[in-house]
Amino acid sequence: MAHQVDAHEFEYLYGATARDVLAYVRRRTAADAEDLCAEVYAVAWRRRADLPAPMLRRAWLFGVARTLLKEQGRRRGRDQALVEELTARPEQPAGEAGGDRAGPVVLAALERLSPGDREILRLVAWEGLTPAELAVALGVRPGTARVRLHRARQALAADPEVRALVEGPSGFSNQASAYGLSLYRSMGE
Amino acid sequence: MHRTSWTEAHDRVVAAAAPDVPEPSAAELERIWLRVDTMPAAPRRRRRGLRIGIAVGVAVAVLGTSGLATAQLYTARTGHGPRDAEDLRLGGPGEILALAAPDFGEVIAEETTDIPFPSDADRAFAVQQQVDDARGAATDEFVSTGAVRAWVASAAVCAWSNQWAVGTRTGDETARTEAIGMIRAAPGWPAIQALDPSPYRSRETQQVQDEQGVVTNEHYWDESQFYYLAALGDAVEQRRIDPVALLLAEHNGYCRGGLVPDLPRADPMVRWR
Repeated sequence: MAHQVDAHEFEYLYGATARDVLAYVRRRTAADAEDLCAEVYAVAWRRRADLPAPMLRRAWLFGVARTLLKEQGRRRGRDQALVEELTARPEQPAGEAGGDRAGPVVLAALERLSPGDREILRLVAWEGLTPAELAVALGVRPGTARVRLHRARQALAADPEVRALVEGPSGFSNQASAYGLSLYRSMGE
Repeated sequence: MHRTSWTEAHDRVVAAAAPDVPEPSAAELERIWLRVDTMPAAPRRRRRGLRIGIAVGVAVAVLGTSGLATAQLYTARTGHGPRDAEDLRLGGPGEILALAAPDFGEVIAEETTDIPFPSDADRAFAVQQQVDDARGAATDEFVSTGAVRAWVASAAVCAWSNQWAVGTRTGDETARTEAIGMIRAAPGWPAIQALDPSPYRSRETQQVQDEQGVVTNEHYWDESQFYYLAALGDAVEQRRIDPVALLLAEHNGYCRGGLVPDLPRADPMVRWR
């Protein structure tokens, strides 16, 4: 039941996802985000016969953007570490991280993870991907995506600074009421 | 290495660390589209910018209002089942439905009347979810009734879980007990039995290559679609909200805000920002 989208459907897809794809690119590079975003959709158009089911197309586009970011780094002749670095973070901060004290701590902890783990956590937390969508974005089976997400979460949770932030006496848990989370927890536990 | 379990606080701090990026303007989006449009083999379109998308939407709406006449010619019901065993395995059982047909929503509503929901509003929301997912489908895109029924059943599990959460918090034992009964019974619903009659979980191994090109064996659990319902049934017997929400977010995928207003973390799209 493979279906090749036509130009009208493709425009609909663009209208529904372009904001998210542009934001994805901007969170990861300060290079020409518009140009790269256009490339993402050009690839999607060329591969329109390969697009997944409608609800998974946004994740698929993130996967294309991720690949293009890596290729962009290679074209610039950087070594592999820098390629991963380009994929992993903006060359210049694209904006202030939220969360006051937590933001810099978490960003630093993410930097200490492997590029793969870092991107998995960001795809889920920043782009809101479900495990099924994560699998599409990474091009792996859902079971593998779950395993990698679990492993990445364990790695970040074990980071001493993140532990201090989340579990410490003045850590995030005690600040949660500022975000309405304490109410949720008290209801749940 | 110290093992620390992942909590909602971790979700929250990672989400909050996302760099703020400016909201793209309509002009930026139009500019990007024009770049796509000028690339080799690009989708050729009329040069009226993003208004084309709106025009398409209006056309769909007009067709929708004249759906009675159209439906007689073009209905979601094809009268055909899966073509072969592989089609059955990949696409699900039952009649093949045309996603783009104007009566797709009505047909879904008819096909899912046996799936129990706490309220008519929840049922309508679940059907509308399917209609929304099908929006933009072409005339040669199809789905089986078996698949749609399973998705709507997933939405019903979300709605009952929400009732469970409300009952658990407020002490409404009648509502809570009813919801527990429904969630416990869900594996036996015909819509779920048709796709997953014998839920299974098995440990699998596959070779994966990391960023350095090193190949290692990786183990993972391969679960059938509704295997998680057993764990969900156990979880709702307790009074802790979080484990139920997390199970749904991890395994269900249909718990969107309108179905789980009192169990927001069951929505996998929720960002704690």
